[in-house]
Amino acid sequence: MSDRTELLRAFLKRNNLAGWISWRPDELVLQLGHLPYWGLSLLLILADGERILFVSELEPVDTVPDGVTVIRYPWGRLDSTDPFAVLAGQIEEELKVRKLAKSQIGAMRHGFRSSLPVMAAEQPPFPQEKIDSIVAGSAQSPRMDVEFLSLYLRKTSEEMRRIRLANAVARVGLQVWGEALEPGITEAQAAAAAEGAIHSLIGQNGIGMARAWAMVQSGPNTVDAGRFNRSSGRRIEEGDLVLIEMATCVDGYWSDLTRTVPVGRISADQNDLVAAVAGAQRAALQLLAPGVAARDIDAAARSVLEQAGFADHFTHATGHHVGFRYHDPGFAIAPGIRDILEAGMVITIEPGAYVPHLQCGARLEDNVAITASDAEILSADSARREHCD
Amino acid sequence: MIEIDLSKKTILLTGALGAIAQHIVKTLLAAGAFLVLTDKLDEAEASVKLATWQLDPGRYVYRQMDVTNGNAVSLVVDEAMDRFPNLDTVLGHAGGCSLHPFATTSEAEFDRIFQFNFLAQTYLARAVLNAWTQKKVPGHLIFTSSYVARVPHTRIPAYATAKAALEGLTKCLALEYAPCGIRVNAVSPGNVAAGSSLKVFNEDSEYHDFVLRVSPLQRRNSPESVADVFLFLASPMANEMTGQVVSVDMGVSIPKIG
Repeated sequence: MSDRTELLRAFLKRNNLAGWISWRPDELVLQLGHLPYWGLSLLLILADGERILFVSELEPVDTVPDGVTVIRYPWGRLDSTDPFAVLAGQIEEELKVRKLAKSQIGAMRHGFRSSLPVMAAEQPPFPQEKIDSIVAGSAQSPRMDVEFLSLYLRKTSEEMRRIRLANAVARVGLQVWGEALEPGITEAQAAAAAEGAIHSLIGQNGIGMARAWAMVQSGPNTVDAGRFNRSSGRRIEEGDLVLIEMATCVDGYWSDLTRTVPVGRISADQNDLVAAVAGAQRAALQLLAPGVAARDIDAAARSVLEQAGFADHFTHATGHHVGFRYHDPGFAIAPGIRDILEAGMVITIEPGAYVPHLQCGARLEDNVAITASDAEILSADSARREHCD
Repeated sequence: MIEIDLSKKTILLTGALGAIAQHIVKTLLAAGAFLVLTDKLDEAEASVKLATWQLDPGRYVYRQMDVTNGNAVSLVVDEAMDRFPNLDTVLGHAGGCSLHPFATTSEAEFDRIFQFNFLAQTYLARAVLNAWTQKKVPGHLIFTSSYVARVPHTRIPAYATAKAALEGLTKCLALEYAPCGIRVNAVSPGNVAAGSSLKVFNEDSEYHDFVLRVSPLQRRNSPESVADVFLFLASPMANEMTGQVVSVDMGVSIPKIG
């Protein structure tokens, strides 16, 4: 039985639940390491550890994991079958034969973010009322949702390996992006180079799904990068700072990285900004270890930017958890947050400053695993073009 | 008695599922090396093939890697280097072709063969040498060339020129990376009774007769003898060699008249 199943069983026991229903893609990755194709897979985990996965009959066979009971339900038929009604009936039947029809089954009840399924153009929603009809009668509180989400915080060694791979894939995309940058190409073309390189890794090194959302901003557009990220048709010019914000998903495990690099010669002001952001990131990274409070890490980064005169321009948190989503649930690395880092957590460290009067902004973001004694940067750049001398 | 012990070594091999590679794999495993095998088949297909080789399962891992996709090479090499700190030997063995007379070979096909046999080796070299330089590993990169790099041959123009370029690259990189203690060599087999040349040998009587006529020892190479040269180069016995092309070819590359 996997570490995850044990953790969930302990959670069910603490909360007097006979089972738990998960359907969001990131929940299924958490529970099974399974990224659903359609986003229409629903997992019922019972207190004895049995796992029953209900999947749409259109789900590709090769994405359905081993070691679980798989039940298919109709989807996309030309008759008038209501697939969710069939599914609800199947779930009720499975509970009934196990004499659990009157038992309390839990599920995430409130509106939380979700990662995307393989078919990422849209996420078909499970009708909440159908889920509610199954979990009805349980005394489930919002507190239980929060407790369930805390299962996201500490990654197992296998999950760490998968997140490390997502970062290695992202690093390839960033490398290609860096090589593509030159005056005259558009932000969108630079973003496409990274995304294309990452997508083309499907089939290599055991990767079934690899996709990136790269957003590139250049020159004055980097001022907005603290509020939003998007690629435009602006052509990159000599003397620009160019920023890439990139979400990368590899088989359901996520990396979230940012780089800011100069194209050609940049001004002293731009240089000072990038140096301050790099110094802020370094200060935070040096502090990372189990037992350190989130607010202290944030303060370390923030004080460097304050000293450099950019206090008012660091407008967001220093970091967040990452791995099962682009932004995992859990505490932020932000002012006033007393939560403590623990071994197995994976967080981003992403200080930035966006300075309207300089017409530029910069952010550097890496993903870091907290280890038993300190921390491992999962997204460190490989030193390319290094000479042998 | 001299014994070759590679038990402290991890060796990455491209084109690891090929016919000659099978013998290289078995020979290196017998000497105790741990192997990172890469080829274009996916893991499931590869495991079916590798099962027939009856290897000790704890002594190797397999990674799907298309050598003509530089990004894939970068990903797989970087990950392997991070995971296996003893990975100090890489065999750039992937390569091959079928007969492709210049007149009837399209430009795209010529490019494809040249890319597979030469440019792909530069992708491998870039990933491997960057990682070793960064980690300060005095590694050994060994390419597989062919006697046709130096002995002109009809109907394989893209392949022969790619191998000629590869031998040039071997020497250039050996020089450039010597200050880091990194060595680069190549093995140059003759006509081997395995792999792509075996197929042509069996199907093309003209080629069959030609091969026996041009080999001074009047035989084709056994894949085992080719594997032995890789074993030697991977061993400490070759520690003072770099920039060399080692021929194991039944004398086919000896300059001769008549």
